[in-house]
Amino acid sequence: MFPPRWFLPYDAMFQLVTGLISLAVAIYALRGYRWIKERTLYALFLAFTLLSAALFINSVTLTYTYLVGFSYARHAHDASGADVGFWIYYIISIIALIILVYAYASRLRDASLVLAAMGLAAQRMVGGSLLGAAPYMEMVVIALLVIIVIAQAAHLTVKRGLYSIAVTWSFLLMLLSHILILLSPVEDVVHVVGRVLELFGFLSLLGVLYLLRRGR
Amino acid sequence: MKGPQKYRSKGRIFADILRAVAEDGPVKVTHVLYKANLSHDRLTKYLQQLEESGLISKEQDGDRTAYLITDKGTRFIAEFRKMEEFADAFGLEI
Repeated sequence: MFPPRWFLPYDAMFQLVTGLISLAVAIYALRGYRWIKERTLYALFLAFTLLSAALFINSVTLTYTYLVGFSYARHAHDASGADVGFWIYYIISIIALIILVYAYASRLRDASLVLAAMGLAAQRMVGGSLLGAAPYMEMVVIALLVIIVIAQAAHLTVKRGLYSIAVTWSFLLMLLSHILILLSPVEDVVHVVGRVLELFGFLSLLGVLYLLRRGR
Repeated sequence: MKGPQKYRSKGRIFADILRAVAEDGPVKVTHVLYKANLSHDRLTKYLQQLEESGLISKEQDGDRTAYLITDKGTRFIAEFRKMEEFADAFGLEI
């Protein structure tokens, strides 16, 4: 669930880069909202702003845990310092993804998967530290990303443009990344692969933004 | 037989009106009415809002009124097109 110690600085850097990309998407959506005043664009702005804030907080938390010499392997039940940062990261990420899911709401038929996952997470989190609750938080994030990927895939069946394919691809990579992070207790390298996939997912979003700005 | 009309957001209606005005130069209300597919009352309201926002300008020639697109209006169309593509990439509509 948590990165191996040697990977912490890289993880912090990856989170910083993905946070910056997320912020770029948010700024682009805000620019559009200022012109067009459409709620959809505002939802995208809000979701990506929150996501970037979550990623920046995670980057700072990972840097802090590296600098203080904290090891998750040795302190499995005593991580209160790092806990605050990770809690904020997860809560803000989940709010950001919920906003995105609402934006997709017209395409959704079944949100029970998310509600079930959130209920399970809430039940497990009460009174616990993040080390215990992290798998459930990851499950909520995964459930939300599943809905987003399904909505994107549904859109692809109607309209298959380069940008839509690239955005679907990025959400799919984010989903795979969180699945791998959930499975990371199996092997440290799984976490590393997960983070690399997440980075590629965000780079794909950056590519879309670049092409849109250039007016391909 | 016509199917049910698709919902058009205010931004899209603005873009439709501006395109109609931009494509055919100074145009009369009846021309925009036909192109933008709006009732006279709604169109009058939107034209007033567009004029107040500086997206179109009004030319008066006797009792004939014609509308012209401004630079800001042209920029709005370009931005709308980009944002349409951006939202579409996310499977969303504006």
